[in-house]
Amino acid sequence: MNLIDLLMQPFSYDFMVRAMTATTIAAVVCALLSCWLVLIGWSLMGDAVSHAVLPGVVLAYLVGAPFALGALIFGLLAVLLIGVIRDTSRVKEDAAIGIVFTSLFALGIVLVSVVPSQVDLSHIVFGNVLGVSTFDLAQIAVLGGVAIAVLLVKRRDLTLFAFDPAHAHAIGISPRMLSATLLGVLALTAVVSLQIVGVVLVVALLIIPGATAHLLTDRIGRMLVIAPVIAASCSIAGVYVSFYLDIAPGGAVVLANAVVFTAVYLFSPRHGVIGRALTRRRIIEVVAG
Amino acid sequence: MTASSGETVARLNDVTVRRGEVLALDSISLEIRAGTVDALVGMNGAGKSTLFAAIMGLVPLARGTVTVFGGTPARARAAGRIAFMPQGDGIDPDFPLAVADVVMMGRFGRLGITRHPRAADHGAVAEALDRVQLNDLAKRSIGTLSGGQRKRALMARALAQEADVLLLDEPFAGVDQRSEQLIARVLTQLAAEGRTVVLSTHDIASLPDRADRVILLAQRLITVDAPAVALAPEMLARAFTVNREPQL
Repeated sequence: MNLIDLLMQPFSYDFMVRAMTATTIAAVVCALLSCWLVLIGWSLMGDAVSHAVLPGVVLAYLVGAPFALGALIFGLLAVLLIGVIRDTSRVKEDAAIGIVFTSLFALGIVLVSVVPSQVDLSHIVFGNVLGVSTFDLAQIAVLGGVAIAVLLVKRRDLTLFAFDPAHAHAIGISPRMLSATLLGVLALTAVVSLQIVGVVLVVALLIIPGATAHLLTDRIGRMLVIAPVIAASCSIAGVYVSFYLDIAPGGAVVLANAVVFTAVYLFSPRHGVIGRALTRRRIIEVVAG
Repeated sequence: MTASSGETVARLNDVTVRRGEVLALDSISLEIRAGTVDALVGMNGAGKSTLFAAIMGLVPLARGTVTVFGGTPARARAAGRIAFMPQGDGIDPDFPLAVADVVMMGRFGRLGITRHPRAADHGAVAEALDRVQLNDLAKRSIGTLSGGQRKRALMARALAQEADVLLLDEPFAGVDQRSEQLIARVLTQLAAEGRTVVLSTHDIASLPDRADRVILLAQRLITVDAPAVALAPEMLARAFTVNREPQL
């Protein structure tokens, strides 16, 4: 089998084409969002929302509604509850996040155990990208498209919010509204990614691409290009590897992201550990003549 | 439209602010006029930052009213007529923005939904950077600037807003001599243009050259007067030794 055959073989299966497309869409949406999440320090919020959608999925199944709707409602509910606990008690935000997401995730697990259904917990927790149907793909494309459109239209406001929310307030732009926008898109993104990598690994896609891009550039505009490109490449590579090695595709996609992050962490010219050491050495050599 | 020199731009009447159990501002009545530089002076915790917040309408008032250009502070903010320059201590040095990008944020209130800047906005940013002599560093990352340069960048952001009233929180704190002189010169120019500047400072010695009036604050208003009068020893004694226990 030559290289072309090797690359094309997965595309001879419809389920692989759907898996590749769905994973790439989800990865791009997550990567865009991850740029602001890592800059604001909201990585944990991504973890919280992605876990908190589980009871919504189960309840949606019970009433015959689309999974995405249930997940979206519970994602937003989680954000609301975290805000309420943080603002109305002396509990700090990280603790509020921990309380809300573990509680809602536990509620989801309990619901799965008592509700007689065909909902496979392992598919929700770890994803089932190879089981993506045409309807699922359409749903992912529409929700992903909405999320990308909102993020791109509001990108300058979101950057202002991440950099200096007090300035936003001072010039009449509501930081509360921008925060709500970002969290709403986060809930939407968790829904988009749920079926691809599952609730446990969604957080990886919501952190790693942004963190990787941040190590490669000092401009947010470039981050917003680098992060989706890395995430899309890792998605395609991950799904390929999973096809040939017969391993879990969700895990393979996240591992591909982790490998790229590690390489960048070590070798990024300006901000990599080894890159910085080499630069220092070159400076010392120049100074020493 | 800049207010005529001497015209009242902000009026505080019996403004009282509580932060939990603590009285942050106690019955402040004050008029701020166009074309002047007012300096807020007082101990840490005297209510200087709270007074800024009250003028911007960002803190709930327990009592009293604030009007800016005859309307609410929120309306003045939405119209871009008030600019605020923070101390800048909270800036993330790793944030991936160039200096010019930060200054452009001063224009956001004037831009459309996507905040896409037009040629006039780039022009205003270039002019603001020019006034604080940061043109050469416009493309540098904000985190690579020194404390004084960063302060000037935040000042440029406030200038780019082209607001009528500029509220500056400790503009001279932690800056090098060159930055201090530059900022002082810009303040004088702004007042001459008919703009209004209110700044907070601990640098009392330089105020006679830099401010038209001193607002001496210790939760309540001690005095508002020319620096020579307001900074008299007996006034400073009242501001800096006043009983600061919470008054409920």
